[in-house]
Amino acid sequence: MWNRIRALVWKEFLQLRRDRLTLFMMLFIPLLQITIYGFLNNDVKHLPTIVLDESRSQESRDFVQAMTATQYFDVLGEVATEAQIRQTLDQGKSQVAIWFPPDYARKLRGGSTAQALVIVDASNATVANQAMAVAFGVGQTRGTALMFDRMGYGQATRPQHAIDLRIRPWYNPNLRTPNFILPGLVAIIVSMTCVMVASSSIVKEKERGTLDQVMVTPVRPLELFLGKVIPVIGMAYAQMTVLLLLSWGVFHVPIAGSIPLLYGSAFFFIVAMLGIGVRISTVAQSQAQASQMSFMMFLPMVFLSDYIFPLNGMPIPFRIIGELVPVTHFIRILRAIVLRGVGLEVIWIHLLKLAVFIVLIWSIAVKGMRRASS
Amino acid sequence: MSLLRAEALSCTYPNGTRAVVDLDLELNEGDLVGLIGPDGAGKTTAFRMLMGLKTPTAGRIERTVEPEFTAYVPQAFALSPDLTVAENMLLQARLYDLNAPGPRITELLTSLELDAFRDRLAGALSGGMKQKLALCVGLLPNPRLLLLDEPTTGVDPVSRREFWELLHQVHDEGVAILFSTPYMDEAEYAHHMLLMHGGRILDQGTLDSFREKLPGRVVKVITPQRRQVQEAMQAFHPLDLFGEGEIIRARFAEQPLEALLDGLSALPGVEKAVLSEATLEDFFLHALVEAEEPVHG
Repeated sequence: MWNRIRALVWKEFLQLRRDRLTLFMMLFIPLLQITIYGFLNNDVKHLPTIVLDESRSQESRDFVQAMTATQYFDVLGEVATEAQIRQTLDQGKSQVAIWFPPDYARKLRGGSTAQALVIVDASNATVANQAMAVAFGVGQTRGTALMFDRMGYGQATRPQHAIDLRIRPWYNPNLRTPNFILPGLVAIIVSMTCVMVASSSIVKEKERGTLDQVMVTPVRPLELFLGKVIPVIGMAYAQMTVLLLLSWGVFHVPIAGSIPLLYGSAFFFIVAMLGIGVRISTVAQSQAQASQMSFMMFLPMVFLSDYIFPLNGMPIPFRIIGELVPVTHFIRILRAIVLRGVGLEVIWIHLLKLAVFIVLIWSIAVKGMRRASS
Repeated sequence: MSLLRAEALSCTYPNGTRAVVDLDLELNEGDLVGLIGPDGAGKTTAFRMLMGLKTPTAGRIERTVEPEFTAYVPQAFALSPDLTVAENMLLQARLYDLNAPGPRITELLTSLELDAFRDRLAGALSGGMKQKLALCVGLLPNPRLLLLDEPTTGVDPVSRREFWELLHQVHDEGVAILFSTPYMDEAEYAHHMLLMHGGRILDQGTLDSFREKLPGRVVKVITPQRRQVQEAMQAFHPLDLFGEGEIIRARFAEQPLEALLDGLSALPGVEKAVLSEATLEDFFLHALVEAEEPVHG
């Protein structure tokens, strides 16, 4: 019996040794997983913050300093109007804004309650929750300290709380999880469809040899290529439509921005992901290999794309990888259009990055196709 | 008129294996040419290069017939297994831009007795039926040039006959056919044959020209004890000798025929020894021995 088992084990090892790609995946994927999981961090620090300081006082500057001392907020600069706050948050240049009204210092000095406002971009609920909690804590600590100061100097026998810090989550005011999760999920699912369907449909033909039969017909290479990718583009759009309809109809995620712009932007993303799928198909020799390689692609797509875990909390190398992943930009586009209702003036930079990615990945994919066909 | 011409066509794989070496071939209108050789001779690589599916490492291909009038049936079944017989035919019709292909599809499927299976998935057909379907798909666009790579491998003898009847009919209509086969009996259907081994063309011509070229005489020996008799026949110094079942075929240098046949008949276990007409197989073996540097392909 043991001889037969030994023979089978030997055969398995021989096959595994010859299937270099599977062997590589077996070693590389766990390494990638443990590295990414190890660095995943929900503790978001250094959130880009702007200040609208109409008080122009030592007190307002002290508050800002207390906020930055927590390391959760990095002040990028000051703005002069409320409109500029909206603009920088719409554009995603800042995620937090602190606003001191003109009477902030005067009220503090006069022993009454001074108001301040912290606005948080809540399209990423994870980030927003933390930012709001930390800002609230700073307001409480600062207010309490000032109140004790007032008591100590005998200015008030019944001292009022010094700071009334109002916190406003914008774009997702109720901090609803579906608003945060579902637009990102659309990007993840569409990317999986594009990569897996495109790669496996081409590899399947290669495996069966059926591509040869088509290639000897009068079909031109471009026609063959379009015949392969158009159904995938159609499927991706159909999937996106169903997901958005479900998000809106069942989970009440509003679409604040332009739907044509959303669908137009999706084209860039779909073409980028198709490029990855086609590239995989030129390397993989079997559908199993194509699936393994697609899976390897999804790890950084899911974890390094700002989908659930904010990129701000990651080490710099992972942030760079995250910025190179097309899903990151499509998630930003989706959240910008669906939640913030902004237009091309904000998302153009992500479209540009997707366009650069398309040029790069398709250059590699076409080179791979040429090499494979020769 | 020349439809396809290959000059000094060669293919060397990255590991150094020379699959095809200096293949010269010309196919004219109305030709029926067979590329004959055992497995690994380089036939499929040659076909793939001729069809543009593989880039030759050297040589030149000139195809004057348009892709619309060329059809290729590869050795391995290459139709979509998850489409039905009819759907595969329809796909081919659409790829070739054929108008109203319905009657032609029915005609072809009927001629190879596949019409009853038109709704069956191609992947669920038997090996022979798959080959028949591949031929129907190849013939659908009414090609002027038809390349068939081992078209009858896995096809039962009855279907094989139907297959060749259809091919002869197609050939009579003026279609030039290049086919490959490892079967010597089937090879004799060709009007012109190229004998291939180890990537090289050993010789080419018609069956008659091969017979004329073959030196010596071929004798057929019938015996139930083939192994022992084959050994005993070595004493007569055969040039070639091979056997199958109860039959041994051997070629001997020119010598008095009567004495040879008497000597062979007298061997223990021999039932009969008679002079035989040389077959293609006899010539192939001869050509193989004559080839100086066999190359593995």
